[in-house]
Amino acid sequence: MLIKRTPQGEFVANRDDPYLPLDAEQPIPVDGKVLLSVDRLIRDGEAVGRRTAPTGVQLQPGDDVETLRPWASRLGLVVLNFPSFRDGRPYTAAVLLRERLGYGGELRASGNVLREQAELLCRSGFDSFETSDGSSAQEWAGAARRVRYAYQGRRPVAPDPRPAGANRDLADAS
Amino acid sequence: MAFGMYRYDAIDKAIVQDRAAEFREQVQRRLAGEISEDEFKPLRLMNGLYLQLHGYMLRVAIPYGTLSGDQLRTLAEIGRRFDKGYGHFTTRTNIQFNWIRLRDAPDILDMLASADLHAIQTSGNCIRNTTADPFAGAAADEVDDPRVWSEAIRQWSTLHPEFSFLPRKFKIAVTATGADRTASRFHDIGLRLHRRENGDLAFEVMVGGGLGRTPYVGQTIRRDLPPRHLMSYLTAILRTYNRLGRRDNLYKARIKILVASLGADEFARLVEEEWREIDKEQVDLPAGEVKRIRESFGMRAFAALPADSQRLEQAKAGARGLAAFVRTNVLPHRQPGYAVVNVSLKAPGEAPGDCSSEQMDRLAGLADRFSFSEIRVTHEQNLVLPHVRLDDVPDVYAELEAIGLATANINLASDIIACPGLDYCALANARAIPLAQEIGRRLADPDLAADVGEFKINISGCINACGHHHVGHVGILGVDKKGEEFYQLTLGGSPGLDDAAIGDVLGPALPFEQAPAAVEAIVRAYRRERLPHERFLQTYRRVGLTPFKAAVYGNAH
Repeated sequence: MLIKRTPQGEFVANRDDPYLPLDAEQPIPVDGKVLLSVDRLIRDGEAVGRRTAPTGVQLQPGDDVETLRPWASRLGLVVLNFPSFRDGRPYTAAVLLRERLGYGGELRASGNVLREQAELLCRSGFDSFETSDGSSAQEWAGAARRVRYAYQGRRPVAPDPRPAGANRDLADAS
Repeated sequence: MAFGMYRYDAIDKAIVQDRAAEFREQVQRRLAGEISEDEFKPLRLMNGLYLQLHGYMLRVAIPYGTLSGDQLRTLAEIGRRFDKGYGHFTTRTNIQFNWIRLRDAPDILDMLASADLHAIQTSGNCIRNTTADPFAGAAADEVDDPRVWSEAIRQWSTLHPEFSFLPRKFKIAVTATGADRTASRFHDIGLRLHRRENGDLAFEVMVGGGLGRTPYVGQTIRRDLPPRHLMSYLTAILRTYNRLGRRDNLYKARIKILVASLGADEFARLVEEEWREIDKEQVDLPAGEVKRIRESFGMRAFAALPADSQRLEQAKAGARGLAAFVRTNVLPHRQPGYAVVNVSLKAPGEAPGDCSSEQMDRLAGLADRFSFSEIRVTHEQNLVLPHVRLDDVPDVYAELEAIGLATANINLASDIIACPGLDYCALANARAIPLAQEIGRRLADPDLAADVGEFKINISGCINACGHHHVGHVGILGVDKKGEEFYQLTLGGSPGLDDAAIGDVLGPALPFEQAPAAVEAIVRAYRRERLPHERFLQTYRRVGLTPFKAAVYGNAH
C-alpha cells in the first residue's frame, strides 16, 4: 500500500505509483516518470538531464545522499529503502536530503515499513510511505499523530506532532 | 542553595501520557492475537518490557538517578501490586521489576506517567537514560548542576526521529566535578563540565568508552565545547555514528568499535565536519529554554548551620554502630552542617540492588522528612539521601536500621556490584547474585572491612558486563564451560576519570565453589603486600599480578 501525506497533513492511499522502475539494462526514456537506482543516475546523468518528465531515484541505506547534490532540485521522487525497520540510516539520509540538500520533492520510505515508524518518518521529512504491514491510510494517520508534541527541532517538519520548543516559546510570550 | 528537581510541564506530561496510551493499544492488539510475538517484540522493547527467564521484566527509567519521595512511593506501589513486593536497582541507575504480567504493563505505564516517570528508551538501540553524578547539588567542587544538562539531554533524546534505530544502544554520562562518580570514560559519550581559565563553562567531550565484550576507555575529542552548542554537537556525533557504525555484527556495533577502527582523531574530524554544517538554530536549545529547564528545578534553601553537630557527636559517642555508619556512609556536603547519606543496598546475604516496597516507602518518608524529598540512585546500586542535616543523622540512622538498610559498607569489600545473572537474565552464563552474597558474607566483618578500606568487587554473569566487571578492583566474569559455571577474575580495573583502567586477567577461570576463597586470598595478599596507607589499586599497580596469582593459584599450579 502506498500512502502519501498531503501538504495539508492528510494521509491518502494511492493505488498506483506513476513511477516506472527501470532496471540496469532498460534505456532511459525522454518522457514518462521513471525510477532509477543511484548508480544508474550517476552513470547515465546525461540521458537523465535530457528528460522532460520527473525522475525518481532509489537509495539503499549504504548510499551517500551527497551524491544527489547536483540533482536535488531536479528530482521528483527519492525512495529510501529500509531493508529492516531496525536499520536507522534512512532517517539520517532523509534529514540530510531535506535540510542540507534542500530537496523538496516526494520522499518515500520503502521496504520494511511499519506503522510504528509513522511518526518518526514524518518528522524526519518523509511524506510518502510504501507500507509493508497492511496499514490503511487511516491507521497510518492515527499512528503518525499519536504523540501530540515532539521535543526536537524549532520549526515543525511535519504538521503533527508540534515541536515542544516552539510551543514553550508561545507560552512564554503569552 | 542547591537545585531541586525538574518539574514536568504540560508538554512533558502529554508526551509520556501519549506514549503510555500508544503502548496500551499495542498490548491490546497482542493480547487479541492481532500481532505475533515477533511483531510485538520491538514495540514492547521500546517501552522497556523484556521477556526474561521467568516472564516479563519491566525496566523503568530513573532519569539521571534522581527520584522524589512521591516517585519512590509509586515504584514501591508497583512492586507491591504488580511484582513480588520488591524492585531491583541496576548499574544504569534504573529500576527493574522481574515478575510482570503483560496485561498489567499498560496500567503500570499509566501509574508511572502520573508520577512523571516512564520506561521510554530503557531498551532498544537508542539513546538510553543519562547517568549523572549522584551527589549533584551536594558536591563541593561542582561547577554547575549536571542534572540541568542531563534533563536537556533527556528531552532532546526522547523519541528522537533520527536516532531511535541506531546500530546499537547508546549511553551518555554527565559529570561536573573533578571526582567522577559516573564512570564517564566508560560511556558512549562522557561529558565533563568544567570552567575554562576565562571562567566560562565548557564541556570536555569523550567518546567511544564502554565495557561489554570489548572494553575501551573513552577518548577526548573536544576539550572546550560551549554548552549552548551541546545538542548540535551531540547530534553531529550521533549522526556520524548512525551513518557509519557497523550493522553487520551485533558485537561490533557500538560506537567504541567505530572510534577504535577510525582512530579518535579521524572520528573527531568527521564529527567537526558534520557539526560545521548543522543548522544550529534548529537543533541547539535557545538560551531561554535552558533557563526554563534550570528554573524548573527550583532551589533548595539550606539553613545556616555550624559545620559540626554536637548532637551527632554526642550520639556517636555512645553508639558503635552509628559511629561506623558515619565513618563509611556519611560524606561531606558543600553546605556546612549538612551531609550526603549513602544507603547501602548490599546488606550481607541480600541481592545487591534489591529493595522491598516496604523499604522504598520508608525511605521515601525519610527523604520527605530529612532530605528535601530527594533520593538518588548510584551506578554502584546504592541509594543516596543527598541533603541531610548532620543533626538529623542519628534519626536517619535509627530509621534505616529499623528497615535493614543501615549497612555500613559503602565502597568497602562487601559493597559488591552485581548484575541479575542467571537467576533472572536470559543472556547470562552464570549466577552473579549468590556469588555476591557469599563473598559479601565472607568480607562483611567490620574490622576486616575497615582494615582493607576501599575495595570494589564487580560481578557480571556474562560478557555483556552489566556488573561492570572490567572496572572492578576485582572483576568477576561468569563464563560457561561445557554447561558448568566458571568465573574469570580480573584485577586493577577502575572507573575513575583520571585513573580509568580495564582490569587484567588473573589466570584460569574458577568453579563457583572456589571463587569466594580466591577473593579472600586476594584480600589477604593485598594486606601482606601493601605499604602504609596504600589503597588496593596503588598496591596492585606497584606489585603487579604475580603475588596475587601465587595467592590464588599457588597450591594448584
